[in-house]
Amino acid sequence: MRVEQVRQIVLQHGRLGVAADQVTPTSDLYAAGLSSLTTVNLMLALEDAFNVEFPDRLLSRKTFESVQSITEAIDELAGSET
Amino acid sequence: MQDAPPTTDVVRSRYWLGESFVVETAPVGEVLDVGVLLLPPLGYEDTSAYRPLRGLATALARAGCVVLRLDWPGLGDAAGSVRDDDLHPRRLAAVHSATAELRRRGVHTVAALGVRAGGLLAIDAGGLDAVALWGTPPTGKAWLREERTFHKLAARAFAAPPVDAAPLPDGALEAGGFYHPPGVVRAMEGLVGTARLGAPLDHLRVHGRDGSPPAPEWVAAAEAAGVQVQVSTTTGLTDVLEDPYRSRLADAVRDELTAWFTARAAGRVSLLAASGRPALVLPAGATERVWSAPGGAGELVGVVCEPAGGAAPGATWTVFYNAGGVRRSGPNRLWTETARALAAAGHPSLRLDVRSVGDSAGVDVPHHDLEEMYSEDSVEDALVAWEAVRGLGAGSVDVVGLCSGAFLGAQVAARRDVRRAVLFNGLAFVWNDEARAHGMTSQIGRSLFDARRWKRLLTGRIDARALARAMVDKARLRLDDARARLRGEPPPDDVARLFRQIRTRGTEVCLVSSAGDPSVEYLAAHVPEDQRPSLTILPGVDHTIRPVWAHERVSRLILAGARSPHAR
Repeated sequence: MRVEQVRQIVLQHGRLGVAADQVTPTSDLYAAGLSSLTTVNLMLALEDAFNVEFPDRLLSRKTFESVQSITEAIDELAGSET
Repeated sequence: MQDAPPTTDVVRSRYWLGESFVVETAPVGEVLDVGVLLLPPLGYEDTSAYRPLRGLATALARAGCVVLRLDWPGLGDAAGSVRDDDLHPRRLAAVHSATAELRRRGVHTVAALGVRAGGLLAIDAGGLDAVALWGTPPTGKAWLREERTFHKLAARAFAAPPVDAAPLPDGALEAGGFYHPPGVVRAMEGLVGTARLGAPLDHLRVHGRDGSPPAPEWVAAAEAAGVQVQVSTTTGLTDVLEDPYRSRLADAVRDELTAWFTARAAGRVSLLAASGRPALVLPAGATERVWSAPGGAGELVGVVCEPAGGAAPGATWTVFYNAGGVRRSGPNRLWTETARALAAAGHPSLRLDVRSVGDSAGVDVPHHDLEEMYSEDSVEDALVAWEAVRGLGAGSVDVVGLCSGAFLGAQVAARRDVRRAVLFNGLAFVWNDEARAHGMTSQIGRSLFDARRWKRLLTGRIDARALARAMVDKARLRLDDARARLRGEPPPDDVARLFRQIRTRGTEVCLVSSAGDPSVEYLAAHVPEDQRPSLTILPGVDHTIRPVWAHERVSRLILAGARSPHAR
């Protein structure tokens, strides 16, 4: 599932201050320690992994605030999984 | 990695070369015939990378290389203002000057490490024999996108600028409290680094940004240009860039880079003397020069800024203290810019790095907690700066600090004659059990400038580890208290008492807090309203005085104080 792929990328690149099992699709990633700088890393990793480019309108904290919101953005850019 | 101990194996010297401020690190005696330029990133990333690059310079010098660390024009202690529109060609000229200087002094191969945008500038400048790129995107356009994204993600905390704030010029870009003028943005928009590879460059090394492999465009372009290319997937860039207080250079990256640079050497040479200047002449004749003095952990370093003709005898000097792990140039380079404005108005100043920050001796390991920044040792360093300006002829002394710098300013004002103390966003003015138990020791370093975290900590969530540490440290704090009493100084254990003490000494205290900053809550909790020093609130500004429209206001506050007739 894409949401799990996104979650794994978040865990790998987000430098979160919480244990992996505490990161659910709806966890607040900024509350978990995601910083502005690591969000940029995360964005680039997601772009590599899903072969997409986040347009300006999606470059906001709202897009990256949870695994779920990131997955929705990726779905929009890459097309939903079938 | 431990900092260079005070031995003779590595020598540091500091000077201005062209428009750059340069810290040279070299072994004693002959050097390898490869010289290395360390070209930092721009803006906020430069703030964080400063100490790790100092550590890398030490490692390279110990391996035999002469190393020049540059401050880019418009940043740090270099010439120019960050608002100068022509900074891009001036930055390329800085690379040319440093390259030519190393060749003139006898080095046969000039290599460079360019971090992030520093790599693009290295490639754009040309003239280098070998370049290592770290997290450098292949185009300036890609770098600008990352800067814009970084700013958009951080900007949520900022309010709209007030109506009387001057808007940024069209085409300018703000990122992380720094400003890229339209000329820089235009130059970077058009910069395709991969199209700039060519002679004399014959070796390229590419390190990726954490989370992304090195851009394949670099490898393809190098191969097409006949440049030998090596790729590293070792991570560690985020550790260098994320936070000036905890930034660190991974041993693996240090060792890889040291091996790669030293492999470029073919022999040893004796270096000719450097031609850098010991002072920078600013517009209207003001000058800057490096200041250093022995401190408890080794050499303390700062920069003296004086008006044209030198400081008048008996003048009021301003001492700027570093803010947390941010070096003496201050948050968003505010101390450098304000010091120069003060000098233009006739007022001298000294901006100081306490131990383990910027260029002062200490440790290069990341700070595990804030104990050192809020320690008696740091206060001693701050007092050395006070003594120094008195020795330079100061008739009176103003102090300026932000965050831990505000702590240092308050502590100095409680112990020495200070005319005026301008203290921004002081999150603790006394380092005691309560401060420690509130988790500052263990937590603040993880996100020094995260006001939300501070707020949570100050409103009662007590970190268990910090509390345990508080128990252990309590005895030592009492001992420090007793020692302070023996020295006739106020025991640093009570905020209200501290401010009473400062007031008794006749110091004018001007507290400045960003709206919503935990410093406001801290002050309210500790000092009764009728005893509270004047407090100015800056709406829409974060803990480190971002966004950039606020910078002018802060400079104005400091300048107004320097001009005020307040007499002790």
